[in-house]
This record gives sequence, C-alpha cells and structure tokens, in this order.
Amino acid sequence: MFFVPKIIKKYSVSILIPAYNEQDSLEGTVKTVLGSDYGNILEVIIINDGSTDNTLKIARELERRYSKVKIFDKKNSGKADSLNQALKIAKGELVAIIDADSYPDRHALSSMIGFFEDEKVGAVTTRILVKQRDSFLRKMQAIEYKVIAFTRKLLGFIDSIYVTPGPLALYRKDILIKIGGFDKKNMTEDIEAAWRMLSRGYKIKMSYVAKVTTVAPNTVRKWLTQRIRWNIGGYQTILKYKHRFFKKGMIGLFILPFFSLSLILGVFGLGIFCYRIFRRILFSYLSTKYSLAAQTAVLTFNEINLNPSVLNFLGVILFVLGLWFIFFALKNINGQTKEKESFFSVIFYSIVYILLRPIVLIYSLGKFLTGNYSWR
Amino acid sequence: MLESKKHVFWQALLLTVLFFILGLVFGVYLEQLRSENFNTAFYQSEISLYDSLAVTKLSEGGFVSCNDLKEANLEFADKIYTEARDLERFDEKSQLTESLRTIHRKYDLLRTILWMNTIDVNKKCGDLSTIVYLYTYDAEDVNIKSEQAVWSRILGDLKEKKGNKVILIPIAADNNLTSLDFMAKKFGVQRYPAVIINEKHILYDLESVATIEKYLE
Repeated sequence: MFFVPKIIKKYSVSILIPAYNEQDSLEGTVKTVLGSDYGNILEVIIINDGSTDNTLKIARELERRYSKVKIFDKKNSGKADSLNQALKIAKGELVAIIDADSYPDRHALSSMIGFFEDEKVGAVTTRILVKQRDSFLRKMQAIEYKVIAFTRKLLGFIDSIYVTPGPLALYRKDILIKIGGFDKKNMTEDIEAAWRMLSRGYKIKMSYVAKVTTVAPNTVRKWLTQRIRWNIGGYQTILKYKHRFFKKGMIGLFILPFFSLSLILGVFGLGIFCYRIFRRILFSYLSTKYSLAAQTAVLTFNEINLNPSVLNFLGVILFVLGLWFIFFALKNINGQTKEKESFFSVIFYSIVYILLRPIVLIYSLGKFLTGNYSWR
Repeated sequence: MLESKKHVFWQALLLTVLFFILGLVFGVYLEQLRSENFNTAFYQSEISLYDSLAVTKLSEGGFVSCNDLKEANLEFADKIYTEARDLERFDEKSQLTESLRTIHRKYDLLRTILWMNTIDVNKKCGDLSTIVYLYTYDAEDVNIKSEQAVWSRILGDLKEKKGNKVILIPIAADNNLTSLDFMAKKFGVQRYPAVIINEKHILYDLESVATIEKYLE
C-alpha cells in the first residue's frame, strides 16, 4: 500500500492553481506548495479565472513576494478551459494541478514523482483528506474521503483509478496535451480526463503516502451543489464512453461496468427500498383500519415473526461486510494520520450518511436529464 | 513491483464469488431445512387424513357412531389448522426455492379433501359447524393482502373462542387445484378472499366475530 518508487529522474514540475473567487484560501495554498521538499518546481502559475473578489490582488502580491509565482489572468471560462490555456504556457515536464483551497503535504510531490519512471504512467493521484473537521457534516466527509482514498488505492492495484481529483493530481504534460487536455463541456473534467487517459492505454497511479488536505463544504447547500456536480459529471462521462462497454482494457471491462452499476444500484436500490417501505406502511395502515372496523386485534402473537427471509439475512450480511470494510479502511489510513473518528460518527456515517447518496443521485439524474445544470 | 499486484483483482473476485456462492448455498439449505420439517408434518397429516377417511368409511357399515366420527374429523381438522398457521408464517419467507410453495399446494389439497369429507360427515350426522376460508396465495394488491391478514385474525379469534365446536379450514385458492376449483364453482364463489359458513353463507366483506357467530347459529 505505502510503496513509493525511488526517484531516478528529477522531472521538472509546473504547478497550476486555477482560482475563481478564492481570496480566503489562495495565499495558504501557494505558501504550502512553495514549502514542498521537491527540489525541481519550476513555477507556480495562478490562473485567475475572472474572479470578482480580491483573488487577483492577492495573486499579484504573491507574485511580487515569490519569484516562482506567475499569474495567468483571463476572463471567466471555467476550470477546464483555464487549465487548457495554462497548459500551453507551462514549462515543466510534469504539471501538478492543485485546487486553490487545497494544501498538499510537504512530501506529497516527492512521493509522487517516482511513479513516472514507468513511461506509460500519465497521472498520479494522492490521498485527499478533509482539512477542517469542525462540523458534523465535515466529520462525515472526513470519513468518506478516507474510505474513498483506501478504495482508490485498491483500484490502483488493478490499474482502475478512474479519477484524478482536483485537490492534487500530477500529470505528465505531453500525455495530457496528446489526449487533448480537459473537456470543457464536462462537469467533472478530472474524471473525464482520467477516462480518456486510460482509454488511450495510459496508466494512473496513486501514491498512498502523499497527502493533500482540502476544504470540504460546511453547509448542506454547498455539499449538495458539489455532489450534484460530481454525479452529473459521472453521467456525462458514462455517456461519452458508452461505446467502450465490455471492450478490451480496464475501462471497458471493469471501470465502466463498475461505475455504471454503482450508479444504477444507487438509483434503483433506493427506489426498491422506498417501494417496499411504502407497501409495508400501506399494509399496516389498511390492516389496522380493517381490524378496528371488524373489532379484532390489531396485531396477534402469531404475526410476530421470528423466521426472517433469506433475503433479510443477505441484507444483514451485506451491511456487516460494508461496516467491516469501513472500519478496516479507517484503521488502515488512520495509522498514517492523527485524526481519529468516534465510533458514533462511523456508525452514523454507515447508516445515515451513506443513504443520502442515492437521494442525491436521483436528484442529479433529474437535473441531468432536464439539462438544468451549470458549472457554477 | 507495481505490475505484480494484479493478482489482488483476481483474489478479490474469487473471494466475492466464493462468498456469493456460500451465501446462496446457505440460503437454499435454510429453506430446504424448513421445507423438510413441513414435509414430515405433511406425511403425518396425510396419515391422519386417510385414518379419518377410513373412519368415515367404517361409519357406513354402522361400526362407528356419529359422535366418534365427528370427533375424529374435528381432531384432524384442528391439527391441520395448527399446521396451516405455522405454514403461513413461512409463506413469504421462501425466496430462493419453490419447495415451500409445493408443500403448500399439498396441504391445500389435503384441506380440500378434509372439506369434502366434512360435508359427507355433516350429511350423515349433521350438527358440524364448518368455516372454509378461501384466500389468494399470491396476492400482490396491498388492499387484498391486508384484508386477508385481518380475515386470518378474525377467524383465529373465532377459533380460539369456539374451540373444537367449529371446523376452520383455510385454503389457498390460487394453487391450481382442480378439485378446489370445482368446489368453489359449486358454491358460487365470485372472488377471493371468501369465507364459506356451513356451506350456506358466503362472506366477502370483513365481518366481526360476533356477526360470524350469528351465521353459525
């Protein structure tokens, strides 16, 4: 899990920080990046995507103070287009894309570079953890991000990492340019770029040692907006690559079916669950009503059933296995971090928070089908 | 080093398939175990039924009194009723195999024969109160399901109150039994659930225990 290939070639790195109204976090991000222990960072390019707050002013100040910092100021055109334009001016052999509200660990870059010794590696990703766990919502996301990091590392063993997330991803520049950069129409350009890379036969690796912390949404509204964007991006990507279904390669044989199945199960699983619960409630209501009318018992001892269905057993086993996976992932990742989760938080996450996913999936599907969405 | 980890995928896949098969085998085993228990009970009930039929036959020669004949029939009917209630608790729990459904059909046939035998005994000796409850095994409509659940409670209450003074025979009417279809046709049953009291009254709407008692008088 924690294997880091030795750095043989010291690749030059350009750091791209796309920023739109990031006045509160930009300085922190740039300072953290400049504090990296990797010795061959050529430049830190702040891409001001037409911010309407003080982002540009702060960027100018940073440019004045640090020689490596450069500003690429442009009209607002979205993250993907900003990155595509910045790619043309970046000088490094590798480009690290870092969200303006994310903070890479001091050793993050140096523990990612070694993976590029394999020439087929097009991108390397890292563990993404939640920076501030100051609210219950953020605590839930902290657990979620850790489980995702663990799962992603497992997927990495079979060359099936399907996303190079925004908080920190390191790309081989010539490969990124060769595949055409980022898709401006996609809501999750990081997922789409990863799929395109994989479909062209390149590999994506994950450094489990490298770490980046990011600011997670602190209100339900922001959280919902983020998840809708992720889901719609997922739907767009599936549609774009549907022709690859069951075709040779991990994208067609594993990632597409796995990704699609998890979305389908999420959507229909909730539907079936709600249908059964609704029927149960209706049954209880009607039988109580009829029982009262017929002056008979509302519930008899004979109806208290201690012989559950085999499918109930299956549900319980699946839940226990899921819980075990979450605890196992947290134990694994917590060995490397200071923050630990309370037992209550993990149980709440496993029973309640996870159930929110299908609801957001269905809501996102509605927005996607009606075309009612935009990047911001 | 990185490439050699591909075996993880196969290990995970193998484990998943293994767990799935184990779960399936365990589920089928559980259902088989339940159906075996009912099979044993069914054979015992079958023996009791033949015994009861034999007693009816003997009564034709005047060797058995009407009281003994009625008692034998009541005893067997009570046994069948208890087993029917047990079987009902497992009905919806069978998901993987059809074994419980098959046993249910066998029981329904047994209950139909019991019903016919009871009619014969009644003709000969009279004075036997019989309630036949015809319901749908595969009811999908929630309204019908809840009606049936309440009918079961009402008839259960009645049976508890009356004890062996009444023969209660619940039969699933949609299990493709020709004999039962003929019986239902003979009594003019229009829809299910239906409760036939003493082969005279047919109730379709839910009634209280007190009302059914009046029909029995």
